[in-house]
Amino acid sequence: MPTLARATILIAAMFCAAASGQTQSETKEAKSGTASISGPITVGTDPAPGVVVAVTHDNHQIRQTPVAQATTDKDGRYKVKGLSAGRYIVSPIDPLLVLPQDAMMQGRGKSVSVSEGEEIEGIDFSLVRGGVITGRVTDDQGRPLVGEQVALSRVDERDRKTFVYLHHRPMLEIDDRGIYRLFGIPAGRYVVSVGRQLGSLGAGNEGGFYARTFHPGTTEESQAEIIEISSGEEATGIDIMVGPLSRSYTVTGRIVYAETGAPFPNALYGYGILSDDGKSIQSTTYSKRTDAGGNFRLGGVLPGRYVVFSVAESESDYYSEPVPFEIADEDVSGLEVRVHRGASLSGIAVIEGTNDTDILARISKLQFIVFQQEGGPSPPRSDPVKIELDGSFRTGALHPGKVRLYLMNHLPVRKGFHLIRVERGGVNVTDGIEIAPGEEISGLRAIIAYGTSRILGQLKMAEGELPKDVGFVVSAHLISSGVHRTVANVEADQKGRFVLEGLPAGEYRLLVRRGLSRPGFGRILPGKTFRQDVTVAEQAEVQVTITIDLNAGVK
Amino acid sequence: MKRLLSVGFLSLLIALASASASGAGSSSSQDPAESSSNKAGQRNADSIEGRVISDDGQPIVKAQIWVIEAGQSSRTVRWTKTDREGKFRAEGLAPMQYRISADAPGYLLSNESSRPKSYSPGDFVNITMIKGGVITGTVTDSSGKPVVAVPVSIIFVRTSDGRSLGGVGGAARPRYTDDRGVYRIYGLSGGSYLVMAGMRPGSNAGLAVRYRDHSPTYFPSATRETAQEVRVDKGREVTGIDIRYRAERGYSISGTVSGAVPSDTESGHVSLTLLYASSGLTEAMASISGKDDSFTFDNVTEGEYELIAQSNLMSGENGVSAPVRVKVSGADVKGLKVILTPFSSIAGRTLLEPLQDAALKSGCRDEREGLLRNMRVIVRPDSVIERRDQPPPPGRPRSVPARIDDKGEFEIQRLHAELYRVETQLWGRSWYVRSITLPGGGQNRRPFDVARNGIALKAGERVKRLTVTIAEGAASLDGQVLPSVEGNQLPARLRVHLVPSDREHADDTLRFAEARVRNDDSFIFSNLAPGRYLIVIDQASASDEESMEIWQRHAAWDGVERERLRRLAEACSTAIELQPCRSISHYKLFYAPPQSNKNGPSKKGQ
Repeated sequence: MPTLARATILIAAMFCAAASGQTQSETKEAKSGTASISGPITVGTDPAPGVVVAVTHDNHQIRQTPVAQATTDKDGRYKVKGLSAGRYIVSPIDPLLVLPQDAMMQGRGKSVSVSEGEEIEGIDFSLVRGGVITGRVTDDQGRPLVGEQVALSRVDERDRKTFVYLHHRPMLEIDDRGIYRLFGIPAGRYVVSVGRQLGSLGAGNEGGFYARTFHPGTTEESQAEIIEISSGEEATGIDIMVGPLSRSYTVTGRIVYAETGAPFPNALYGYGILSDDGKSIQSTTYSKRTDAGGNFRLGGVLPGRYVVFSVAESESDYYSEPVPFEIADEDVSGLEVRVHRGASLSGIAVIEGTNDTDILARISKLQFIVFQQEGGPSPPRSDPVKIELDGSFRTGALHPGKVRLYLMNHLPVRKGFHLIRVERGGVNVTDGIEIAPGEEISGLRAIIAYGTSRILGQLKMAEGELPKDVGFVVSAHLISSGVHRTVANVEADQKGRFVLEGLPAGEYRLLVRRGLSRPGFGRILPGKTFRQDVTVAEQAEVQVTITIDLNAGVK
Repeated sequence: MKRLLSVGFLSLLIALASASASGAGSSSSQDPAESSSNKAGQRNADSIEGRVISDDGQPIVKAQIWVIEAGQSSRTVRWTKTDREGKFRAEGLAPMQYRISADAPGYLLSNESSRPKSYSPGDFVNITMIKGGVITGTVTDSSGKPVVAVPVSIIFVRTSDGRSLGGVGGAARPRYTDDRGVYRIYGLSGGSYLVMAGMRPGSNAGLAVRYRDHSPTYFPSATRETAQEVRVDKGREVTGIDIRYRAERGYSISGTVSGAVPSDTESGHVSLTLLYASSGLTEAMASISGKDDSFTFDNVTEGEYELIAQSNLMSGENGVSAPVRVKVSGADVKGLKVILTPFSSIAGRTLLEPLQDAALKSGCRDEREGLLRNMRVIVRPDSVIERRDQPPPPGRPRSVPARIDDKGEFEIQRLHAELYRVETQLWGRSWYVRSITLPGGGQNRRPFDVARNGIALKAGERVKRLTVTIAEGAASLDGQVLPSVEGNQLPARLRVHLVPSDREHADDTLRFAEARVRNDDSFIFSNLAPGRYLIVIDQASASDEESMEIWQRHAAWDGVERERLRRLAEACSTAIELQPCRSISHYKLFYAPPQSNKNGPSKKGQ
C-alpha cells in the first residue's frame, strides 16, 4: 500500500566525491557547510570528556580520512560543525572507551544524514571502558612467534565463536619477546588464537605455517579456553604455545584436451576449497598459467579438500571439469584436468526506458556476468562479458547446464541500469538458458531498463522510537512480469529515512531487515523481515512509509 | 666398444635433455614459490639448500628466503620459508649464479651473511642472523597521563661508525603505544636514531586521528632540531626512552609549483623537501605527480624552514627551484609559489696527449687500457660546503661525478645556476691533467681556462665542448715531514704545497698541488705535471680542519692565495724537479715554525 502523503522534501543521499587516497588537499573537504551533529557521550552514567568523535562520508569505503572531528567537552558533549548536506557515519574514536560488545557497532558508529544548515542533536553513544588481554606466544621450543598476529573471537551464550574485526590492527602483532597486548576490548567472553585455519588458500602458505592454535595450546576450537573480561579488567598470562611449524604441500599435474589428451598450454589455473557437500567451490585462487606441456603446479597447499581447475576464459572457448583432491600429509602429483569445448552465447542488449543518446551510448560501458549452476562444482570465469557499442555481446567457454546473465554491479556507471529480461526467440529465459554441450546460441535479447524513478521511504515503529543501536537494511526487488531481481540495497538513516534511486518503472517488493549494509560490515541480523509492495511509474517519485512492528509475526 | 660408447652418449643426451626441459618448465611457468619438499628422488643438482640460524646457534623458523638471479636482472626466481629446523630448499633452479636473501621479523643479517655472495645449484648456504636492537619507552602528556595509540616512528640518522645520513627515512611502519603509553620498536640495525611520537603527514589516521592536528614530538620532548639521538646496538635493548608529548598544534604549509613541471603527457613527479633553515636537517618530504600542481605539508612545528623542489621526469626538461624561505609562526602558510627553473648541464670530452719521445715513454707504465674507463670528471659547486659523511639535501647543488664513455665524451646533468669547479679523478700514475678549457670567444680565440675560473652556469644553460686534456708523463712525490729541530712536535693541520717555478707555468692553476700531512706525518702527491717546483708547508686554519669530512676548496683557485703561496715559496729555496714518469719517494721535508727566519721547509732529499 503505497502512501501518497505529500511530506516535506527529503534530501536524497548525496553521493559526495569519494574520499579516498592520501592526497593532502582533501582532508578538510566538506567543511564548507553549516550543518552540525552533536550529542552526549557517556561511560555508564558519567559523562566522557576528551573523546574524539570522527565523521566520515557514508559511501561504502572503508579506511577513509574523517572529514570533520570534534572532542567531547568536560560535560561529555561533542558538536561536529561545518558539515555540508550529505550522509555520514559518526563514530567515537577512543582507544580505551569503546562501544559495547555488539557485532554491528564495533567501532563503526551511526549513520546520520543531514541537510544544509540542519543541526542534528542527540546522536549519543554509551561507551564502556575496554579491557586488556595480554600474553605470550611461543612455539614448543620456547621461541617467540615474532611478527605473527593473534586473532580474537567473541564467544556467545551458546559457545559459538565469531571473529572480531579489531579496528586498531597494530595491536594484534606479536613483538620480539613473543608478547601481544590487546586493549580497548569490550567486556565479554573471548578466545584468542594464532596461526592459519586449515583449508585456507593463498601463496602465503608456502614453506610452512602454524596451524590455528587457541590459548593455551590446542588446535581444537572446542577445547579453547574462554577468557572472560569485565569492563576495564586486564587479563594477563593469556599465553599460547603452538606446535611445530606445519608443512604445506605441492600439487602437480596436467591440463589436457578431453578429446585428444593433448596438453592444454597457457591455461589460467587455480584451486578452490570444496564445500562439505562437494557441490560447490567456495573460495578460489588462481594466477598462473600452464606451460607448453600443459603442466601445472600449486604450491603452499594446506591439508584439506579442494578442487583444481582451469578458469573459463571466453577467448579460449574451453571449460574444465574440476578435479577434486585431498591433501593429508604428502604432496599430490599426476592429476589430470580435462577441458571440453564450451558452448557460447551471443546476442544484442537493448536499453529501454529512454531515448537520450548519451544514456544509450553508455551501453558499451556495461558488462554482464554469467552465472552457471550445475550438478557439480563449476570453475570460476575470468572475465565479465563486454557489451559493444552496437549492443552486441558474446561469451564462450560455457559448460552445459543452465546459464543466467546479470549486469555487473560494481561499476559506477551502472546506476540506473537494470537487466530485467532476457529473451530467446521471444521466450522469456531470464531465469536461465538451458545449454547443451558445445551449443552455439545466438540471437539472445537482453533488455536493460533504464530508470530514474525513486522511492523515498520512511520507516516507522508501531510502538515507540526507532531502536538506536542498530540499523535497518531495505532491499528492493523487481517483481513485475514474473521476474524476481534484486535491484538495490540501502541502509535507513538515524531517522528511518531511505532513498532508492535509479529505478525503472515496475512492481517492487521492499524487504526491511535489521542489519548494516556497509562493506566489510554488511550483516543481516537474524530476525523478522518486513515486506511492502509498491508500484513505481516511469520518471516518478514515490513515497512509502513502512510500519515495523517488532512484536508481530513475519509476513 | 663402439656400441657401448654410443649407448652411453645417448643416455647422456637424454639426461641433458630432461634436465633442460624441467628447467625450462619451471621457469616458464613463472613460479617463484617453490616450497621445500623432500621428494626422495629429487636430484640436488638443481637445488640450493641452506639453513638459517641465530647467533646463539638456534634455528630460525619461518624465515623468508628469496633466491635472486645474480647480475643485472636481479629477478627473484624463488621464494620460500625455513622449516622447523631452520632449513630451506629451493628446487628446479637453472644452472647459474644466485644470491640468497633472508628476512625474519626482529632479526638482521649478520655482517658476514650480508656480504654479497653468489651460489650455484648444489650449494649449501649457511645464514646467520642477529637479533636487532630494541628501543622502548613510554609516551606521556604534560600531566603525566599515558598517550594511547599514538604512532611512534624512528629516523635512522647515523650508522654505528658515525656516518650521518641526513634523511627522513625511518622504520617501514610506525609502532603504536598501548593503553599504558608504552611503545616497543624492535629489529633495529645498529646506529643512532631519533624517536618521534605523532602523526606523519600523509599517513592514515585510524585510532590516531586524535593526534592529527599536532606536530610530532621528538625524544625527549623536542622538535626535530633539538631532538636527542638514541644509540642502539644489534641485540641490545635501550629502555626508558620516554617522550613527553607536547600536543603542539601543527601548521600547514601549502602552495603551488610551476615552471619545469611534468605535463599531462609526461610521467614523473616533483619532489619537495622542507628543511630546517638553520641546520639544514630535513623535516619532511612530499611529492606531486600528474596534473596536480599543489602541495601541502601538514603537522609542521613553528620555526623557520627552507623549501626546495626539483622535478624528476622520465624525459624532458627537469628543473629545480631556488630555496624558498618559509616562516611558520602561529598560522598556516598558504599560497607559496615555487618556481622550477630548468637544470643546466655540462658536456665535453677528454683529449689524450701521449708521450712521443720513446726514451721518456719507456719509463711510463702503459695505462691506456683502463684510463678513460676509470677516470672521472667531477663538477663541484664552489660555494657549497659539502660534508663527506652526509649527503646534501635533495634539490641542493652538489658535486657530481661523470664517467667517460668509449668515445671519450662525458655529460653532467641536473646542475644548478652556480659557479662550478671542475676536477678530475685519474686512475694510475702515468697521466696528469694538462688543461681544462672551454673554447674561447672573442678576437683572439684563446680558450677559456676553466681550471682557473670554473664555469658560472646560468639556469637552463647547456655548456658544451668542455675539453679536459690529459697528458702522459706524470710524476709522483711522497715523503715525510720532520721537525727541523729534533724532538720538536710538529703542529697539527699541516699541508704541503707545490708551486710551479718554471716561468711559463708560473700561474697555471693545475700545477699548484696541495697534500695534507697525515697523522703519521707522511704526505703523498701523484699525477703531477713534470717540471720544476718550489715546496711550501703551511698550516690550515682551525675551521677548515674542524672535520676531515669537509671537501677542501683548493687554495689554487684563488688568485690571492696563489700569490701568497708563491711569495712563501720564493722566500725559502726548497726546489724540486720532477721528471716524467718518475716517482720520488721517502722525501724528507723539514718544517721550521714561522718564528724562525726560514719561512718554510728545508730539504734533504734523495
